[in-house]
Amino acid sequence: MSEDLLIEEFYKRINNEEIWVSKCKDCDKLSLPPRKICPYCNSVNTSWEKIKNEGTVESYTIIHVAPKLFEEEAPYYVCLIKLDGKLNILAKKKYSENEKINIGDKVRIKVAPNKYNLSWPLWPILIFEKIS
Amino acid sequence: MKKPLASIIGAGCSKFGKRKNVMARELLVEAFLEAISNCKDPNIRDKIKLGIFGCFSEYFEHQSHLAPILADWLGFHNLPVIRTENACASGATALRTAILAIKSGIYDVVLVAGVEKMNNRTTSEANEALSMASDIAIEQWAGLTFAGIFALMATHHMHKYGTTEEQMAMVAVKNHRNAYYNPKAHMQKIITLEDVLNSRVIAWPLKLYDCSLITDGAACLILSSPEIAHKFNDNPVDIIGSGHANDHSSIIEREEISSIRGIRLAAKEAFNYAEISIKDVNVAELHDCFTIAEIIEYEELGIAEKGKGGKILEEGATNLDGWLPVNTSGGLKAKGHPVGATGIAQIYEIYLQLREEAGARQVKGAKIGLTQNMGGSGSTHFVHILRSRAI
Repeated sequence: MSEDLLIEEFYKRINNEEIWVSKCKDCDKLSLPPRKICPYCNSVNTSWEKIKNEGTVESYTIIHVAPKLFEEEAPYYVCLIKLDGKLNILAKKKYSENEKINIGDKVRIKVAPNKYNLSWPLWPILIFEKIS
Repeated sequence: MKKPLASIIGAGCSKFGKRKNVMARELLVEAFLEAISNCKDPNIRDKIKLGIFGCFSEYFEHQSHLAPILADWLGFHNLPVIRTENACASGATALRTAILAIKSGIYDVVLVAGVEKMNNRTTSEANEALSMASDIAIEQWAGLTFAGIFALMATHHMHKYGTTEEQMAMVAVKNHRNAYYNPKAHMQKIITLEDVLNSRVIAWPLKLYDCSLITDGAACLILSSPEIAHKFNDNPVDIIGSGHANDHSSIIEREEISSIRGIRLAAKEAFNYAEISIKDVNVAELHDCFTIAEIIEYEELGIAEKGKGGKILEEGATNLDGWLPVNTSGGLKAKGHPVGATGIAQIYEIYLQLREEAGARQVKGAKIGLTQNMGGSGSTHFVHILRSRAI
């Protein structure tokens, strides 16, 4: 078990090229944010694993009434994306009439800086772009 | 027939709505006075030995440590009390805890209540407080509201099973129609499919009328052990099944985006104890926080086959005159959703139905009723099964 399998570390490591998640060496399943205890088999035989930042849209919504923090950004998509065919992640993207999102679309995860003037969390924001 | 888990010897509910100039504790006084008025023992107050109060958020009234305050205002100055919090299932959590207290043999008469006073805050502030019940590390941080999380389930259900926005709207139309006959409902207003479909988008595909209401309200029950229930009430209602389950805390880890496994698990536990099946149930109150939730719940509870939850609405299966009327009270959608009160208010409706006291929305001859209460975006689940003694 890696001692730094922590949510803070997940958001520290993620960038426009790679996503680090936890892998259970007993059941082979991946989780994000990473965890010391595998959420599927409870094994603590877990470690970091780098995965590709590309995936497929499994479901989506268009948020019109947003939480306060993101009010000025609405409307925006939030998609549930299956990464590399292995595990799910949520990411957002400004809504545009010109680029509609559908289930099955191929997308890439990116990060945007946290510009919200918060004491916590200081995590980056997960966004996505369509792969044409 | 197995011995019931506990019996309901009194039940009360405040008027639901935007209750200006009233605090949570005062809402609960309304519900409590009705509940004790059901008990024929004038000294019922002295028989109550434990109080359990469901309430979701400190934020609405800027008030933590609520349980002793509620007890104090009900007139209990020497009563052990607990507050339970499990988001929108805080009420059923209180009930389940009370059942355990009675089953333990330590207590034989327990007060159970739920309350939420939400409208001190603006809608935006209330939504902010509600969203705290979803996972900050993943769901909140992605910009999801609660409507957004259920919208993800809805989009998936539409894509995979062909469920339509019209079918979701039918849940709202039905529940508003039922609420029209419930004088305690927040909105006694009949709406049309067009009203729902044309209402403004909150989180596509969910629109304003797909969402439950931000409501002030309280509900209260007095439970006793089954053996002594008749001493307090000539027509008590027995709790014959109780199920409690959880699931992965965030939507990204569930077995399927538009399935809610915890409902299935809680129902299994409750039905196993009760030794009945969904076919034996005559009336049900389900957690319709969003219209899609009621559709998925039909499927998880076995009211509809997987993927057919929308279809059975077209057939009217869950209308007042259907084979299993659902949300006769108007549900969270139209009766309203004062979060901590909801799980208890569902029981209150079934109590009325099983005692033939539901007026114009009475399901004739209802003997067995079910309630299903959910917390968070699908991570906390309760199912309770109630039976009339007058069978």
